[in-house]
Amino acid sequence: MTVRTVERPLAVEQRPRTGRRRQRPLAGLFQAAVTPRVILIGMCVLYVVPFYWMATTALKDNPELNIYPPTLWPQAPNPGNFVSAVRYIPFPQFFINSVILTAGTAIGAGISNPLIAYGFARIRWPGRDLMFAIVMATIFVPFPVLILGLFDVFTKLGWIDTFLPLIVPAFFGNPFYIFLMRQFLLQLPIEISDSARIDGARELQIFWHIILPLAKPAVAVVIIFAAVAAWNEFLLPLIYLQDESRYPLAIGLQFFRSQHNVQYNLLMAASTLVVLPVLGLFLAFQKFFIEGVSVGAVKG
Amino acid sequence: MIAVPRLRLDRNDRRSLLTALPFVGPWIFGFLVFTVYPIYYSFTISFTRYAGLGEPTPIGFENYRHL
Repeated sequence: MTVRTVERPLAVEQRPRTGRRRQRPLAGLFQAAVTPRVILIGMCVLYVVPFYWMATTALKDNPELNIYPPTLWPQAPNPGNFVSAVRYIPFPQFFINSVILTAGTAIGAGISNPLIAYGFARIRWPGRDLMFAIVMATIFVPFPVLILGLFDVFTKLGWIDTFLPLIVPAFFGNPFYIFLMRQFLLQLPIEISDSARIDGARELQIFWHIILPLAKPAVAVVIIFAAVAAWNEFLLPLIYLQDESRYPLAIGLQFFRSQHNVQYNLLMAASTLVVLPVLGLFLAFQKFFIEGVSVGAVKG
Repeated sequence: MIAVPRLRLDRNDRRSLLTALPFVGPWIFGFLVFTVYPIYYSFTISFTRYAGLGEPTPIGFENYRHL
C-alpha cells in the first residue's frame, strides 16, 4: 500500500490574506458580512417603498389622501377601493386583452428567439458574423424612428385596431433575446451536436431533441422577459389600437387620470391588481429566473 | 445581404446556408419588414410635404433646410 502524500504547493496569496485577517479580524468580518447586507437591505428598501406606498394608498379613503404629512398606514383601511377600481374601468375586458397580448407575445418570443439564436450560435455559414453584427446593431435603433414606418406597414396589411401588430413581430425575434439565447447556446459543447450529426440527426432534430432541452433555463428567461414586457407595454397598444374595448390594462390605468383630477386611491388599487400577476409569475419562476439571468454572463 | 458572399460559394457553403436559413430566415424577414422598411419609409417621406392625409408631395431638401 502506498500512502499518497499530497504535496500541494502553498498558495502564494493565502499567506498575506490570513495574516491580514489575523491582524484585523473585526475589520475583515465587517467587510465580509456587514457591508453587503447594509447595501442590499438599502436597495431592497428602495424598491419596496413604492410598492408599500401603492398598497397603502390603495386602501385610503378620499379625505385621507390629502393629509399632510401623509399617513404611513391608512387610518381606516377600505378594501372597497379595489371593488370601485374594478368597476370604474372595464377591468375584466382589459384583463382579458392583456392576457391575450401577453400570451401571444410570450409564445412568439419562445418559438422564434431560440430558433434564430440556434442559427447564429450552432451552425457555421458564410456571412454569419456580419449578419449577427447587424442583429446587434438593430438594438440601437431608437423605436421612435420606426413608429411611422411601422404604422405604414400595418396599415397596408390592414392590421390597425387589431392585436396582430402587437403579437406578430414577436414571432420574428427580438435582437436582445437573440443575443441572450446565443450566448447561452455558445456555452454548450459543440461535441454534443457533432455526435448527434454523426448519428444522422438533421439540424432541426438536433435543435429540438438535444439543444432545446439543455437550453430550458434560457428559454424560460426569454419567455418571462417577453411576457413581462408585453404585460407592461403602453406605447404600442396606444398606437395601434383605437377601439377602447381592445385596450390592455396598462392603458386602462390611465383612465383614472382625468384632466384636472387623479383618483390616486383607485389608481393605486388598480395598479396593485395589475402588478399582482407579474409578481406571481416571478415568484412561480423565481428559481428558474435567477438561474437563467446569470447564464448568459459566463461565456464558455 | 446574403448575396454579398456569393462570389465564391462551394458546395459546403451553399449547404450550410441552406441549413441555416430555416433558423435565421424569420429574423431576416422580420428585420426587412419591421426595421429596414420603416427606416426607408421615414427617409423617403423626409423629402416630401405630407400632412398624414392625402398624397405626399416631393419638395426635395426643403425639410432639411427648414431644420
